[in-house]
Amino acid sequence: MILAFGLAFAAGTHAGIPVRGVPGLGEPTFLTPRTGWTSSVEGGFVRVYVGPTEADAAEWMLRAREGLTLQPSPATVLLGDEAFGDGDALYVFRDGNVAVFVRVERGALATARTLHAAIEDGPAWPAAPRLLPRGEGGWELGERGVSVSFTGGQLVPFRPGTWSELPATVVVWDAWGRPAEWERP
Amino acid sequence: MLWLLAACTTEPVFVKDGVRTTEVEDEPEWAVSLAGPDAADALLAPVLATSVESAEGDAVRVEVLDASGAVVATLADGTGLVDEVSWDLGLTPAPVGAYTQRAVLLADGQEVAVAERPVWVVRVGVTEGTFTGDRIPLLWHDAGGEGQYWSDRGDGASFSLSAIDDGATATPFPPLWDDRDSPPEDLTSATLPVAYPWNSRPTLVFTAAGDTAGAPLTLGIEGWTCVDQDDGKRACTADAPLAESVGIHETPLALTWSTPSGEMARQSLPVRLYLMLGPPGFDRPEVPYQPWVAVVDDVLGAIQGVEPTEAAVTAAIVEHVYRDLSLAYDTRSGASAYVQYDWNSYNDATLDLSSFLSRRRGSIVNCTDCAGLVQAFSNMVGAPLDYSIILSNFDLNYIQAIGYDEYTHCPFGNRGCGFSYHAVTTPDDNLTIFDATLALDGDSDPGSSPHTELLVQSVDGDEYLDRLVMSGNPRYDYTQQGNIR
Repeated sequence: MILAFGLAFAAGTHAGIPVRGVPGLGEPTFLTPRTGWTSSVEGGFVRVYVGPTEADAAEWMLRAREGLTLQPSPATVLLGDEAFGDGDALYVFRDGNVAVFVRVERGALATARTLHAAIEDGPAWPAAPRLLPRGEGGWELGERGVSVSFTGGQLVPFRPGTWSELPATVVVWDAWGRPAEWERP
Repeated sequence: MLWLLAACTTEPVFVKDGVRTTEVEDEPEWAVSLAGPDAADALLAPVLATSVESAEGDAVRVEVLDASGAVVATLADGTGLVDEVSWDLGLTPAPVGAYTQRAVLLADGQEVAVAERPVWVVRVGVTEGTFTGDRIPLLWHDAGGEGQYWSDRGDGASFSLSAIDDGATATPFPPLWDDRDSPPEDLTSATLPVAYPWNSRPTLVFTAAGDTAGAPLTLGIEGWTCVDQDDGKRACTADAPLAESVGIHETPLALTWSTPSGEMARQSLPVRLYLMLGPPGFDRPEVPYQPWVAVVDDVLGAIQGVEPTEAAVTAAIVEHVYRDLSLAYDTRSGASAYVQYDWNSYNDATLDLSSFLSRRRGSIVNCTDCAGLVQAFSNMVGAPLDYSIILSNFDLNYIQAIGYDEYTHCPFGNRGCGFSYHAVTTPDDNLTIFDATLALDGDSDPGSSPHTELLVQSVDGDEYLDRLVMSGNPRYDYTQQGNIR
């Protein structure tokens, strides 16, 4: 099957923003499924959340704006479905199920535009990862994604995705920053 | 002088000037003896030094004989008196085994006294050392990538060697592992730090290897009491706590190899013990809610020697975060750099500690960041702490924000003179407050100049609100522990 990925030009459910390859973004740091991923940019950082639904991203937007003095973005510079900013250093927008927070020293809107332009449509939400028994003992992830985070268990050092003792939770992030979760039965 | 020998006695009896005596003043009392350590190790202690005491003779011959009686080393050749001899295995090697050290006292060329004692040539060493007891787990947060946590689980070996020697030299103890982020890929390449409560008496269990040739050789640590375990290992427990408070203990341990006759060899074992206030204060025990080496190394170094109480430790952490970490408040927007809350509440704050440690998103922070740091640091070193949110939308009295040296009640300039919320930390459901985001004005009028710096270290919860808030209806809410990653 050939999957065609393309840039997204309208609100809706998107795959997300590629965690690598967007000009100006540093290496991604993956937080939690409910908080998303983050990356440094010149003069600051961005946070990106991709939710299963638009409502999830809208909730994230509320939290991102909490406590900040932001104004609704003028229609002339509106990105996505809703956007807020302080006129220079902060900009927050949501396009469908993708929400983005930009905090830089100045020029937040330019960074936000770069990220908005990078939103892609693509494959369906990733399936929950599987932990498979290893021949030599322990467990190994069936799907590695681009990053794996976990709690509990005992990692085999320098063998990411491999444990000598079963972890409590595992999150696998895909190339668009979407999390797939596994919990110890 | 007249000496008479009395007959029919069990020992010689002499009479001198009418006085009976058993002493013979003028007869030589030939005697020779050997003393000192009785074991040597070709690699750890290749020279066996022996003191020789002799009386009345004019020369001593000292030799070492093997089990067949053959002389394997001549330590004194009988041409004169000596008071010490040395058997240097480097000059006269001998295989591991039991030997006899023999001293012969000569007088006028005649053998007049002999002393013998067993000595041993051994080849011994330690192949593993594991700290046990009430040890606290330590965690490295980058075992193959950020967030790839590796815990020593509180029971891993501190060091292990593949062999006690390479045939020519004794294998040295690995150097201390100094990387605070990542564990060694090869666990035999380094001696790992360990963590204990500050007032514990650590136990170090050794696995010894080699050949003692039957010598009564024991392994010990100076200032520790050691016993043999049923599994053949040797367990040594400190006779007293290693320090009087929290901190980092790095005094090498003096390992001794001894027989009842004395110390054969001494080895220096490098150690780094993180002495915590107690077990972690997190309300869950799993990875990554354990002390991170990168955190405790910094924090314990900064608060070393502070009074070992929860209040004093957390207070010292507040000062460390406020003054030492080169952090500054985000006076532009008060936005967080390293913490995010859950979707639509202030629940489940997640501190991106891995990124903070490398300052990936800079050093401009807000109250959420500071509360997250103080909470994580305090819990890691054993002082339980929650974060708490003060709600909502209140105007400020004068404060001195982290990274600033001036008081203001409008930290955002013309953009605002209040907080929509404020994050702090508390150990007791907001009865007392710790806060590294700001210093309060500690004088009788916190709403105007002048100002007296008051770090928020165990400040009464009501007093804190009184000093912080100029107007509004502040209340504490969302008191809980956060997440770390």
